[in-house]
Amino acid sequence: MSPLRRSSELAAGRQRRERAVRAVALASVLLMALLLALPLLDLLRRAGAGLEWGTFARPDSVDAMAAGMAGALSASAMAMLPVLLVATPVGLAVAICLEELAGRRGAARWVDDSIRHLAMLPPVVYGLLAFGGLVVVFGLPVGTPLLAGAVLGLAVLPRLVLAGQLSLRRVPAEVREAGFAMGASRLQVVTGHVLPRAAPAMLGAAFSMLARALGEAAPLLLVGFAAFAAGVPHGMTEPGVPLPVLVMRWGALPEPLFAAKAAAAALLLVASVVVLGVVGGLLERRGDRA
Amino acid sequence: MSANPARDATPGDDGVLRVRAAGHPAHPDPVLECRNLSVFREQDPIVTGVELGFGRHEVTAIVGAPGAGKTALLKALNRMVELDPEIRTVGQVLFNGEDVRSAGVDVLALRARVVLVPASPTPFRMSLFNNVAYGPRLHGLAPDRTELERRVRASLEAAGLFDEVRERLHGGCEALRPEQLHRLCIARALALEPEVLLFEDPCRGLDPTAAARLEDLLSGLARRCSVVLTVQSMQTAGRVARRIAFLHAGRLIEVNEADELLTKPRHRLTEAYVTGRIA
Amino acid sequence: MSRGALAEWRISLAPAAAVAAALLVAAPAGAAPRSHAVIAGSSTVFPFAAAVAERAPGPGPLVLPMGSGAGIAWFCEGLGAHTPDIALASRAMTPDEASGCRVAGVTPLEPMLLGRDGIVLVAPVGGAIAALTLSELWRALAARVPDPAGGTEWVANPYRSWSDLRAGLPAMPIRVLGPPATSGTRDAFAALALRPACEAALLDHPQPDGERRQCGELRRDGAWQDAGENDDALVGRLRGDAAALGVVGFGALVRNPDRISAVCLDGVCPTKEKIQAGTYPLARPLYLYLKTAHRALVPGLDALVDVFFTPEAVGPGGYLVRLGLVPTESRQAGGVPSSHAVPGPGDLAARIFGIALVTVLLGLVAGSALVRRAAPARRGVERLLVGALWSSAVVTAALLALVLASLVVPTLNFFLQVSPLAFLAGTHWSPESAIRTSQAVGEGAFGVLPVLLGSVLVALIALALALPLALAAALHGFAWAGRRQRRAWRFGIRLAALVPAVVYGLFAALTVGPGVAAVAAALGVGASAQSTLAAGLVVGVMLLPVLAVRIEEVLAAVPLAAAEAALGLGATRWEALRDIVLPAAGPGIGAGVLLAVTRALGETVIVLMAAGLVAAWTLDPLGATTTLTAEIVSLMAGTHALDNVRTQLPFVLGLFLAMIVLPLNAWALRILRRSDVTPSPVF
Repeated sequence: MSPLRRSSELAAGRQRRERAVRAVALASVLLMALLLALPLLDLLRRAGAGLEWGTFARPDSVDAMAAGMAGALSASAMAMLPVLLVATPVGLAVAICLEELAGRRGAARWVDDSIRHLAMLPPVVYGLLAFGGLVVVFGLPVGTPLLAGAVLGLAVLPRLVLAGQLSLRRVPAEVREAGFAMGASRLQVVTGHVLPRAAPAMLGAAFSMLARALGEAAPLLLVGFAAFAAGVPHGMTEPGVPLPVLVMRWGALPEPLFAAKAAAAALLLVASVVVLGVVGGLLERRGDRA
Repeated sequence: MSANPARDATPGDDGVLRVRAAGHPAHPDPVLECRNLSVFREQDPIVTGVELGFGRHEVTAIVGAPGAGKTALLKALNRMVELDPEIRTVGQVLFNGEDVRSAGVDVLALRARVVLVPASPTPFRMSLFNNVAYGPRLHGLAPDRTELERRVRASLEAAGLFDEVRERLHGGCEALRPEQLHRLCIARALALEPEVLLFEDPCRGLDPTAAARLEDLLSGLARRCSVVLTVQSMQTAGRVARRIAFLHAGRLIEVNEADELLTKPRHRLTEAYVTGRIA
Repeated sequence: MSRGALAEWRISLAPAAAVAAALLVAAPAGAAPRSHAVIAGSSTVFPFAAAVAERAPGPGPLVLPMGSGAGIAWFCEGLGAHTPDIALASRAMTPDEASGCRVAGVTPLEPMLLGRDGIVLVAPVGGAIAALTLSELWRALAARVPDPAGGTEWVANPYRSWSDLRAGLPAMPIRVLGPPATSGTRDAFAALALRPACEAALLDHPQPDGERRQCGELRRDGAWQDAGENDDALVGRLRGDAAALGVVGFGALVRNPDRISAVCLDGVCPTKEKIQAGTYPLARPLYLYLKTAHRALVPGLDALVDVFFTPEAVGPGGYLVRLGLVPTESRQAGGVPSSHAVPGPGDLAARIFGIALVTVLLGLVAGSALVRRAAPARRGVERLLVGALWSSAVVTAALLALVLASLVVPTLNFFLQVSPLAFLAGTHWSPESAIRTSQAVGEGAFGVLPVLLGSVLVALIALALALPLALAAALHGFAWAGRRQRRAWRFGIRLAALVPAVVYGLFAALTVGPGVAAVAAALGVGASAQSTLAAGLVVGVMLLPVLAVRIEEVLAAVPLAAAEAALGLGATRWEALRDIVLPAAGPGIGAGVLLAVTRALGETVIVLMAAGLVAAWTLDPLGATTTLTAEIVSLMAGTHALDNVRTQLPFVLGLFLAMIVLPLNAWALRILRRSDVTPSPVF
């Protein structure tokens, strides 16, 4: 038998181990996919009774048959406005500052580190800060999309800065050098060369953060959103409980119809978050390709 | 050889038109042989219809521009190329007359005999000794400690590294200079006592003096085993190799003894490459 | 102006403009009167108030169920748009509370009798206990009882099972879920059920005065469990536990007839008639308190209040009656409405503008000073622009200071009253009780260890599930998957990582919790539908994509050349992984695990929905538990006065949590920086 075929015990064992490990790894992938799909499938199964037009069009109620998520949808949508219009520009501006304009030493370094640490804090802590700052000091009205947006914007801001910094770092150094070589000032290089390249990625990051803010409930619970808001808010200062908190409220009630509606609301939440996330991901990929 | 390659086409056994390379691609007693070897990534061909023999105890250089398919061809020789699931190999590679892709062949045993040394030298994060001993241990070639030590020492000597590192065999590899790292990787491969050594661009990143020393080492290795290396520069090939195979856009253009090919290239493309008109 | 300069102006001013706009919008919001009513207080009255609120026109009222005590406390903070208009109470205001209201200027006040309610002891339908005497109930739940062994002194409650109390009762462990200390129902329960029985027992076995003072105290060894304000949610929790009883308002019994049945007390079973007549021993009135001054402040408040008493609401078959409200004959008319001017927080607007102005100015100055000297700005105007850009950075950096300040100050205040050692080393966590008795808080009820243990347990269970799977799956994607498979995999897990925690929490509460309990019951072990295991498993599922992404980021940064060299020597992929890649990636993977751990420690929603929220110094995974995050939310719900221990506690826990999470994260980031990996912040 040729030397290539003479399979020793050792070699056979090695091949066996390789096949076994590969099988285990593949099984893990499949098991993981199954476990991740499980909650969604379960909720889909439960949502049956809750999936009717009224559940999406009516405001919340004590009565399970009459309850709907219209108020929550409006509240969540409006709560995204402060995040989109205030937190996002501020966050991206800070990212530009830290990444392009600041030095690497001293105060700038301290700010950079602080923001990185802030970004890693659990969102609950932002609820505490929001309570002290936004409710007590600023007196923002309790239970309104304005407060919700402010709290969520606060919670998402440091991560937004970090994501913006990462997007900027992906722009290769040659782009900046080319600008400087032509005699442009730092600000001109940033606005004229770097930003256009980084814009899709930064937008993508913004969408991802928006998706995250949409699904966040914990900080809201600390500022008085564990409440019942009658009707549908038509303005930022009218009472409205965002969708994730509504899911928590309905989910805790024993009535099976409330559980079904909670599942329906949760699925809608997932769908919205996924859409935003996919858009964000596509934008980021377009940025990389450019 | 005419200027029109199509005129040299001959129908093969299966009726498909093949272009035969200029010079002497076949070898009387090849240790490795490619028979109509093609390598595809999905549908795109990287290497097409290579018929080539590699001589025993000889240094053969595969020369070509970047993207010509040298690495793919090299890696096809010990089935490294199929580690990428998108790669398809068509045709045969014979090792001592045996098709390496036939059923029942233990690819690990193949790679212990036809060893590939990749381009950038990377030590493993182990002691120097363990780096060199990795291969023998893996394949169970050194059942006891004495044999292992013998192999390690012999390989390091053959790579010309032993004297410089004999004191710190069990230390780490961080302090090694680039040239020493290259030699370490060669020693690593030699520890398996292979029949063929495959080198991917062996002198990349070395200054000219160190490269020259390494080229001497490579030529000398032919005493122990057969050597195949890929290289971009025709001149380097001329210094190190006995036989040169010129690859262009995935096709084997010409194969011949080094002196012959460099001074009297038979194909216009070879001549263009040798004289530097194409890069 | 040149195109470039225009762009500069635009980006520099955008953030400053955004902040200014935000503050402009926010300021009037803080200063202007509300157009909707805010109702806060008892969760027993909450369903009735919500039902009325639904039917109110215009921007719906906001109803916050926070407990009579918390609701009244907020109500009595003062007048103005930042305080509630109506307080709901399932007990009358205490003299202390009333005087507090007066002192804060909340007069005149209109108390209104909304209706009657009874506190009922309920069991899941088909439960084994149908009737108890109040004396038995007290002996089952009191903190201290006469020594059953016949000693003259009273002892800590030794009864474990109902059969210990009376031979005819079933041999079920004593487990009663009820409202927390902020709840009026709890106060009324103590006053109507516990204290009379205690007094009666004291007559039989006289004790020193110290015992009398503790008469209404509930035992803290787990037989009584605080189960949240929401009566209906409590009923939901009874669903999974055959042995448990619950203390809820009569309305919950009416609303959930097929899920729970009442335990008759002292021979009287709770019905609407008996509650109205007062023959049910635990009947009590429900109140609304209205701030007269707010009638002028909030449009529609008058009409709203009247709706409570319309025939549609409280008449025969009225919607409130159907929800379980027992109506009374009359409501007490409150004081004469006066038209005092309401002091709006107008100076708040000035405060906001002042802060905004100072911040922007600071930013401009700081920015101009911090701009890199190496690339000096061309024009003075450019420095100004950069400074404007920097104002955003200052604002954000100020966040850290704010976070610390808002956490540190209450913590310092707290530790002036409670010894840090008692906090850090104590194994008994029941902050409600200590505050309730208004005793010196050196009671040893602020030991954080059980809460910390809960956090750690949940994180460990989650990691035990998530780490092996995520690691193996990531390795597969790295070593064996084809390009298309890998792309699909990476896309998939990033998408999965976006799923909000609420979704997992719902899954845990509806399916995993009861599932775990069912499996445990089948194995002969008792378990309720809310357990550490259920919460931990679901947190683990949530962690799977996060951990997989982190590990994948680390693997992507490993230089592949060494692995390729090993393959060239004839190693299998697994051998190359084992010998080359994993040792190189090891620290990075460890860092990824750390980041996942801190993520698990910070998880709030899943725990709130599935873990049962009971602080227990035990390792039992089938029991309920609470975590630092869950306690922060529970303790915070509804507190507004920043100066008492109860309000400080969430901040103390927040700082404690931050002190754990920050160093771990810093360590992980340091490790990752060495391999040039920057973890994506999206997760």
